[in-house]
Amino acid sequence: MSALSEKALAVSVEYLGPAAKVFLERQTKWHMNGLAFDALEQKHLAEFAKWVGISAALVVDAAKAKELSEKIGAIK
Amino acid sequence: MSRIVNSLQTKLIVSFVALIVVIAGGTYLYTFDQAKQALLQGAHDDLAQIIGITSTQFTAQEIAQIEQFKPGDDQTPAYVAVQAKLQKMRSISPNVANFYIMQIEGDKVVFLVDDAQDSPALIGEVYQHPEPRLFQASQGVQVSESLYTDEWGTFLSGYAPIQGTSGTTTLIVGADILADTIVARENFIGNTIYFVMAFAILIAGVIIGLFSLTIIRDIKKLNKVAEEISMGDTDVSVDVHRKDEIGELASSFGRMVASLKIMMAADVQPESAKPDSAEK
Repeated sequence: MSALSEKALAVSVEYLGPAAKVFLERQTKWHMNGLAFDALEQKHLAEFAKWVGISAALVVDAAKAKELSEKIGAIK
Repeated sequence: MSRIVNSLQTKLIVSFVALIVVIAGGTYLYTFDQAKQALLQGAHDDLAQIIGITSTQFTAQEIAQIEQFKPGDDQTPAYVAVQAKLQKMRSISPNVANFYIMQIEGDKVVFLVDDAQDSPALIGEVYQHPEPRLFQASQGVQVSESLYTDEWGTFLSGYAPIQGTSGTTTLIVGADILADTIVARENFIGNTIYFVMAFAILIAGVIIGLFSLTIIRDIKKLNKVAEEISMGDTDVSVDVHRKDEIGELASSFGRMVASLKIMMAADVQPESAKPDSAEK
C-alpha cells in the first residue's frame, strides 16, 4: 500500500470506521478507471477526494463528508 | 409508570432537585441563624451602650431625690423631672421601648421611676419576675443574653448601676427593646434571604432544566437511531453535534452507522455517480 493510501485510510477510518478500506477501494475502482486503492498517487488525489466527498455523503452527514473530502484532498 | 420512574430524565431531574433543595435549605438555615445571632449581638451592644450612657445622666441631687421617692410621689416636680429626663433619653433612642429606675432591696426589686405615660409601674411596685442578671447590675452594665419574658412583655433588657450619694449602687436604670422590634428585623432578614435563595434556585433550576433537556434530547436521538438500525433500517443519520462526551458517543455511533451502511449495502454509490453500472 502506498504511503498516500495509508494516510487516506487513516483519515477515513475516523469517519467511516472499519469499513473505510472497502469504501475507498470502491471509489478508486468505480470512479477512477479501476485504479487499485493501494496504488493511489498524489496526481490522483484531487479526483479521489472529490468522489470520496460525493459517496461519503450517502453514509454520513453532508458536513462530515465535506470535511473528510477536504482532509483527503490536503494529504501531502 | 415504571418507564417514567426508570427514565434518565426523571432521575436527572430528581437528583438535581434534591441537590438544590439540600444546598439551598442548608444555606438558608445557616445564613439565617448567623444573621439572627449577629442581629441579637448588635442589639445587645447597642443596649449596653445606651444604658451605660443613661446611667451617667443623673445629678447627685436627682439621685438623692430618687432614693427618697415613695408611693404617691408620682406627681411631685422631682418625679416629673426625672421621668421627663428618661422620656428624653427614650426619644433619642428609637429602638428603646422603656426606661425605668429600680432599687434592689435584698432579694426584691422595686420600681422608683417609669417613663411610660400609660400604665407606668408605680413607685414601690415590686418587680415580680426580674431576670437573675438584673441583680448583677450593681456591679456593672448587664444585658439579657436573649429575649426575656416577664409580666410586662417580652424584651431584650439592659441594666446599669446609678452611683448613689453614699457611693452605694442600689439604684439600677433599666431599658427595654421590644421583642417585636428584634423579631421584625429577623423576619426582614429571613425574608430577604428567602427571596434571594428562591430567585437563585429558580435561575439554577432553569439552567439545569435546559442543560438536562439538551442531554436527554440528544440521548433520545441516539436511542432512536439505534432502534431503527436494530430493526434493519440503515437509512439513518446521527444528528447530534456536541463537543462533550455525548458528542464523542454520537461520533462513534455515526462511525458505526457509516460502517454498517458500507458493509451492508451492495452499492452505496448514487446513480449519477456511477460512470458505468457494469463496473460493479
